[in-house]
Amino acid sequence: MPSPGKRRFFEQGCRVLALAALGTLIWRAWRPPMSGERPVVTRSTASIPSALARATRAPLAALDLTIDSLPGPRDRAWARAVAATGTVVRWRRARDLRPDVDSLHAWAPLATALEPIADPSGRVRLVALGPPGSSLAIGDQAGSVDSTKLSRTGTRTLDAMLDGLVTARIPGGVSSSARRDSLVVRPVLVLADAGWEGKFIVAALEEAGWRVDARFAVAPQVSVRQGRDVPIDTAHYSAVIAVDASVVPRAASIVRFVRDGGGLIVGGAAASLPSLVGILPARGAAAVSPTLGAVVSEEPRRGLDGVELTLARNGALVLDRTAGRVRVAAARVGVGRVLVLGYDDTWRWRMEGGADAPRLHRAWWSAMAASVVRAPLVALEGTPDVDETPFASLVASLGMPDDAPRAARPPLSSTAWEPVLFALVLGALLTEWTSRRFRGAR
Amino acid sequence: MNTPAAERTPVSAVTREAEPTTLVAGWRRRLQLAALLRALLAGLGAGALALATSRPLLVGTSVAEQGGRVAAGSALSGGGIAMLVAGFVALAVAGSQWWRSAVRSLSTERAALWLEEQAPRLRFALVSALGDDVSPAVRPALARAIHAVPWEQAARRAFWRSLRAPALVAFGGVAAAVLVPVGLGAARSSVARDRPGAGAPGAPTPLGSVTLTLQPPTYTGLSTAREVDPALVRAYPGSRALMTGRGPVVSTHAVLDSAPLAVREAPGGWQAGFTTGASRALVRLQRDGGDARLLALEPLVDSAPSVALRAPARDTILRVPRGTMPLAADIQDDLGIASASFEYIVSSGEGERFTFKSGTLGALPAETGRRGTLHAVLSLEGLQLAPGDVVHLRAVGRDRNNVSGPGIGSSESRTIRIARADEYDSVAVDQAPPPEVDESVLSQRMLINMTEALVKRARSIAKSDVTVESRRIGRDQARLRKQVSDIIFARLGDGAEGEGHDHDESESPASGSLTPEALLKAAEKATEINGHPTDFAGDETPVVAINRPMLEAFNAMWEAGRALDGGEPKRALPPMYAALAAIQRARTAERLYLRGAPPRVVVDLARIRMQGKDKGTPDLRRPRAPLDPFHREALRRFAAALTTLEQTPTAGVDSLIVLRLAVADRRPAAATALEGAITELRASRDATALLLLVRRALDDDIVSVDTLSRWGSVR
Amino acid sequence: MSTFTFATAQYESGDWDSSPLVPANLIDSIARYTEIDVSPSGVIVPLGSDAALRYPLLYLTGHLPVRFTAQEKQVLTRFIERGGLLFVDDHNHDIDGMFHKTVTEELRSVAGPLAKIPNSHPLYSAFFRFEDGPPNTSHELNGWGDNLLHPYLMAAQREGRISVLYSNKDYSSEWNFHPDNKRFYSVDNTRFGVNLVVYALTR
Repeated sequence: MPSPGKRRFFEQGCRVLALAALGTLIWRAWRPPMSGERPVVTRSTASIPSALARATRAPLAALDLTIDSLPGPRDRAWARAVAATGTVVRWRRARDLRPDVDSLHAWAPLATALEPIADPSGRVRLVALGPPGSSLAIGDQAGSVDSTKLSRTGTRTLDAMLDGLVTARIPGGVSSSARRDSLVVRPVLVLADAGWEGKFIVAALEEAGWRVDARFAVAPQVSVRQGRDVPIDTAHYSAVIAVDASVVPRAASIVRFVRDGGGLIVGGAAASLPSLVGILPARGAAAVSPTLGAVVSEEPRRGLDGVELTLARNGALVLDRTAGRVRVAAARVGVGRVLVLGYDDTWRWRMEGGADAPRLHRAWWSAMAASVVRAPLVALEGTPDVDETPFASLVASLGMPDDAPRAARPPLSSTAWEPVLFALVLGALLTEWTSRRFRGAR
Repeated sequence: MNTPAAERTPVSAVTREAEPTTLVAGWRRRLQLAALLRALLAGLGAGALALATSRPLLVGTSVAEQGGRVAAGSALSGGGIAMLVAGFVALAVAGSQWWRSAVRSLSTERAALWLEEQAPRLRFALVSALGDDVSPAVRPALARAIHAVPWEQAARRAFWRSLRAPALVAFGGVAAAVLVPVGLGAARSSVARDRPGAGAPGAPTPLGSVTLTLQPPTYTGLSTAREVDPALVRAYPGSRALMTGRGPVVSTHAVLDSAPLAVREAPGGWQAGFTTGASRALVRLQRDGGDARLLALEPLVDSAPSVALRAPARDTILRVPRGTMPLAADIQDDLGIASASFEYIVSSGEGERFTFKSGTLGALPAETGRRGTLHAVLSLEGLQLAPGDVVHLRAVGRDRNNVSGPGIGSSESRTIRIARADEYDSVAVDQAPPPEVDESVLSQRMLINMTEALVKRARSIAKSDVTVESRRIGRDQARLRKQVSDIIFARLGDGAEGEGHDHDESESPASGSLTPEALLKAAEKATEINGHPTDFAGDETPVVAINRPMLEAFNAMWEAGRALDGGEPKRALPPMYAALAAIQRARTAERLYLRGAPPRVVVDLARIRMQGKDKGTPDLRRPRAPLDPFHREALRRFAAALTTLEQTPTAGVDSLIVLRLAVADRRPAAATALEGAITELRASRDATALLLLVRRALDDDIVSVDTLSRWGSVR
Repeated sequence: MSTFTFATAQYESGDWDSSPLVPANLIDSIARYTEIDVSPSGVIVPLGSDAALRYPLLYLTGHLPVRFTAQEKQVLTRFIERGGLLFVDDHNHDIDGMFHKTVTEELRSVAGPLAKIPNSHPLYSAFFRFEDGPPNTSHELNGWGDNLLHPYLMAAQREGRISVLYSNKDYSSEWNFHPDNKRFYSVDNTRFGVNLVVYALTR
């Protein structure tokens, strides 16, 4: 039986041991990760959440994520947050990926964006970027919409009726997007002399669903009017279509309208008006004789009268040519847009063209108007969570992949000592208490 | 130590088996049979109870709405699962009963004990008799004791008593399965059979199977058709449709669009009839508190007869109205031709004074079916035609449609004109089919033959002779060329002159006759107004447009003539061939003006611009409606129908039926795909591919380009 | 420039050229009252030719029965579908006449049934105001033809616009004089023709 002195000494030792173990536990909980510590390695995307949970519970020196499919936004954000606490988070692709997806391009860079377009029928534009030549399947909440391929440059633009969450898939990659904005499109004003061109421009736009105001000059002080008699400004109109010289009395307000952000389309017959020339991206030059019979061909606009355009402004873009001649040019003027047409009688396309000519004429004019209209964006409420650029977001969160081969080491059980230490605390305290009780102390 | 029975005396063995042992063995088999029957009855009862309880839960409303016919997906599997569950329970209960029964290992001794239990007065005589160690001396006494007691009657009673409880269980289970409201078709049928026409007390009865009998209108000659549970019915307007089904009349309702239909009692259930119309419609069948069903009606179109006039084959100008003219026309119709005839209108007069008379000729035989040929003869004397009169002739066919018709089809018309005497003196009137061209053809062919012969002979005769002969042919060629130029200018008919006939035949081209360029210039000058050519088809002046083949012939003849005049017949042949070909084309050219060109007035715009005394007033224009606002709405309805389809399959199919009617006109491809999808869904088959087709057909305006625009559309 | 050219439809079955001076007279009126860019003379265009599609306003008249050929029907159907306006005038001014009977039947097959248009129709206010609907013609007032005053015009409409305008009023006779003689009229009787052209060019 040891002496009471020795027993007290023993009890003191137990207390010290318990305190030391407790201190170690506390230190382990709060210490920064040590650089020399072996990293935690995951073997698949599915095991990332558990690894992140561990790294959240206890700081790790490093976390090596092996990815066999792109992680979702939640895991990416989590990993980024873990990295922000000091843990080195690296990622690499799994070595056993299928051959068709085992490349950086195969499943990495699919990105989509859904944007509203000024299309009265309610279509939206989906822009997809990804590996060149990939098969692209697009669907929305009402099912599959289209199957197509990305171009040789890896792009595809699709204008269609798309509802809700839109999903684009390529082999090995998926991206989702949703509309975040809508547009405010005010009426288009058509200014023309009474004639076939003005009539059929208005008809095409109205049939396509545009709200159109019109002024057809018939005689001095006599016109046929559609819409209210309001000033030409961006509060009332989104674009003006100046078909011919009837626009001259309103030229000054049109120039002001464009500089304020409005859109302007100038027909071939008005492409050389001095009052507009200051804002035009191109001017009418030599007359272009139509190619006989071309109006019913695959290139119907070659069969139209008009003028060849010469670019007259820096930054002017050529949007359409026939037989090498510039027929449509556009440029930004201030915050507005101006588009000049080198065609005089596009109505002939509608009347004389092939079987589908009325629809094509309508679509062409609708596209012309859509490309210049001032259409401010309005944010939509309740946009669903989308993952438009999963790979880019992953790279943005964690950097480029670290694809250096890494020996698959068993994950270090950095928390294995914690139960031992905890048991040590309990054991030391219990032993100390028992010893005290046996010797009669409290 | 016991010895085997077989080794004992055979007599004693036979005696023992013939008596108690045989009896007990027989009862042992009966007891085993009773145990088997009890197990089977218990299994049947348990299985039926399981069916009665699980079926309403698993099948649910799907079966109720479809009347036992499965709509989409889960309904059939629900019924099947219920049956599987019932079968499993039945097997399990029967098996466990059998397993638990002691009979499974029933020995003869235990059978004897059971018999002793039923008849205590045996006092174990039966059991004792079975023992191997019973003394032979005791056996007779035991046999007597056994026979003295009527134990078999008690055993039989006990036997039947043991089956009573399982039989009751089985009966109860089967009764429950039969009588539970949402049950098998047999149960509903029995209810309907038991109370035809009576209102169902308690739970609603599903509509069940609906049969549609369709009787097309008599004129179609089509027979009555019958279809069970159709989703879409195509019928000619005026068809008589009769729907029949089982179940109570009072709780069954039928509505055609918004008009209620009378539902009447019929043997075994109900019936409702209506006549199909000329527009699309929906029939809604409804059972009170129960299910509803849609039936889409689409009218078939009875096409008008197609009529082709075979004779006369072309318009004709007659010098005198004499003789007869055979008429013939082919007529065909999709259902049947009722009548056909030739119609003529004779117009007489000129200027502002015209008189008309009309009539019909010919008739088809009464029993003409779907195609026939109409013949008649037009007597020109009978029409009392005068010079300048025009007979307009066509064939007209009528079909047998006496509901919405008759459909009338007509052929193209032909005109027969009687020439006026004075028009032969004028070149400004009708150009008859060109006999002058025919003459040229003959001449040109003859000239070619002569030239070809000369070329062959050229090697064997002197060059000077060749030249002389060639020039002689050249003069004939020049003569023909002048005829052609006369034709060209005669067609122009406005004071223009061709090459002068008064010129000497031998006159050289340079001495007065026109060159091709001069001819063309002169011809165009004749059509010019203030220096601007009159507009005409193909941006050509009339003289060019009308006479293009003849001008080509003229040019070619000119080339040929020059070569012939130069003594080079071989070089003359290619243009001569070209001239012949051009003349041939002229012969087959379309008909020219019916009359001469009208006078042309050119307005001096500069002089009169804005010189009017009156002033106009501004006016307002009303906007056009968008061409296809339906587009987006159809897509929205389709998406909604898909959502409904996932939640309530039958309602989703109904939505698709309604959508199909709505899109039939504007999106026929979508309607076709929808029809297929509805059929597949009703048959519980996969319709995914067809629904995809519907989506694409509804949104047929997708614009897909593989570039990014340099000129974006959104700011 | 989008010049308006007055076009007369030449059809195969009848006397399509029965009013040869109407085009010049209407061209004269358009120039007198409006600034519309108009060709100084009209054109004659075969109805069975695709060239008819170059002239979205076509004038068709005659006395004789009208039976369109299959080609004419095909072109006319396309013409109407694409937004053209066919003005048909009964030169007989006789609803019992053969022109009326036959042409209305033909028009029904290509453009649908003809219906009366109200006197408040934009056609009657497109440039000049005609409160009482279509102006009467001297031929009507003289009791020629069917001896009736036709108080309305008929039309087949497409998407709310007139695609075929049909008249029994015999404007073909009323307007069939040389424009130089217009000076002898106290009221220009061709003013309604201006409305027709302005309506066609602006609706």
